[in-house]
Amino acid sequence: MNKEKQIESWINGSLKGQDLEDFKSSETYNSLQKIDHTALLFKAPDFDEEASRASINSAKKAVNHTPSKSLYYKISGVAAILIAGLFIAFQFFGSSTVSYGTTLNEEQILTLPDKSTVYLNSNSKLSYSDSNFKDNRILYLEGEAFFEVQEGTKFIVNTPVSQVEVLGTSFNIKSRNNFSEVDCYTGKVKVTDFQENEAILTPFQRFSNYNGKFEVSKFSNQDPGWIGLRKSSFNNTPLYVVINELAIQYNVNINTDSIDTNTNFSGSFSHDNLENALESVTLPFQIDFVIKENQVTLQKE
Amino acid sequence: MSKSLHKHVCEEHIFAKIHQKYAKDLHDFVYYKFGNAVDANDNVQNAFLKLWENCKTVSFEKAKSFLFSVANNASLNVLKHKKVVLKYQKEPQKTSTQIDPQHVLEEKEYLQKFQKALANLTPEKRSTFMMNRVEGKSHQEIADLEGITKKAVEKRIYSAVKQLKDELDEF
Repeated sequence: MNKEKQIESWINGSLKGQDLEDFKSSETYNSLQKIDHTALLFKAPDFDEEASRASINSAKKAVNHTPSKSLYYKISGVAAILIAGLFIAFQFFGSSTVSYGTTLNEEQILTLPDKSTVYLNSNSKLSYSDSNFKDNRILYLEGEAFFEVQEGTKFIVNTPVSQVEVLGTSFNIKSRNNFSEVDCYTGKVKVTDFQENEAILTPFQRFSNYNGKFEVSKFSNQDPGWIGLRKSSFNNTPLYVVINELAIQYNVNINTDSIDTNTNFSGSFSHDNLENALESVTLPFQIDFVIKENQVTLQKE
Repeated sequence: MSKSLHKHVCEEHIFAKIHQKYAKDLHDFVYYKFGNAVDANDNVQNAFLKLWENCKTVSFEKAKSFLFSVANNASLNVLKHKKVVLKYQKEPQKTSTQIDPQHVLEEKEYLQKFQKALANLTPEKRSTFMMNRVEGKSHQEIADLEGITKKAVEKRIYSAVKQLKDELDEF
């Protein structure tokens, strides 16, 4: 198969089996991955749906459909506006978005309208639309959360880089700009990432996409390891992902120039003290750290 | 029969539903196609106001394509052969790779080259590519939004990817 043909069938999803494997180890695939990854930086600015609706609603009052002449019409016109007004208010409250956010060293346990439970780890955001949640279980997550899902209709969690879909189960999602990790603890979980990689996870399987590299692997811990403990926990996760998370949690820059960050890390770091956190991560690798205000430098001992 | 459908778009809750369903996609689509040459938010608002003005003649089923063509035409008038350069957010997290100054420089050059290559795509190719790769819309969803076939969407994405790759490989 020539290169052009390969790219074409990779895009329309008809590249399978050995052909797909071959393609994934090719140089071409590497540059396509880089293109995908870079494209994310050009994402459109956020769209504020509520603001848009509000401004359209106020502008469209100027558009008049039925000019009213008699008193009778005037009265009915007023009534119509009142009813419409009430209706909009009702709609507005009826479909409001519910958002939760946590800061550093803060954890929240949330009960959703369908009685599912969400444990939201530090520095994470979760939102969903309140209207008819039980029939329309769609949530948006940035950060990390553990879900215990009640049985019912499809339960969908969107993150910046993946979509997770389940029926009734428990699972953990870690998701930041350029990586995402979904761990299935019970039941079955279907994950699709932004590159349209797709997998159905059974218990103790992990779906990961680090910087555009997608993999399904096994993990061994019996629970996510962070709930109630104010920490971030990892099981065989690349060190650069761990350091990235630490930098986000503590809002610091971490310079990793002189160390190898491609090794894997199992363990955790706490959310209450930067020094302790850095120590837990660096100790196993014999790495030293220097903290200067917001700048942390890691180097070989 | 069709008369009752027409009435629906004039009803507040149907109108609100159409907004909820398509406003974001419309915004993203306009942005990727025309960048900052047009104000995507204004464009969305105008398209919806046009729909409201015409709510008696546009059926519920046609509302989506009405919105997309109004937005598209309005932007085309403003645009006139101007190059669309999209802005990028802060550079990628450097924690992920070994950094040496050479590497940082190369990354930066790559990003600028990418920005140029993206601007060189036709508006159609760029919006289709970005809606798929960045907004995560499936080929079918994009086909429905833009009113073209799924095959045409795949063809656009392929030719966008190929063009980007060819321009970036010289690098």
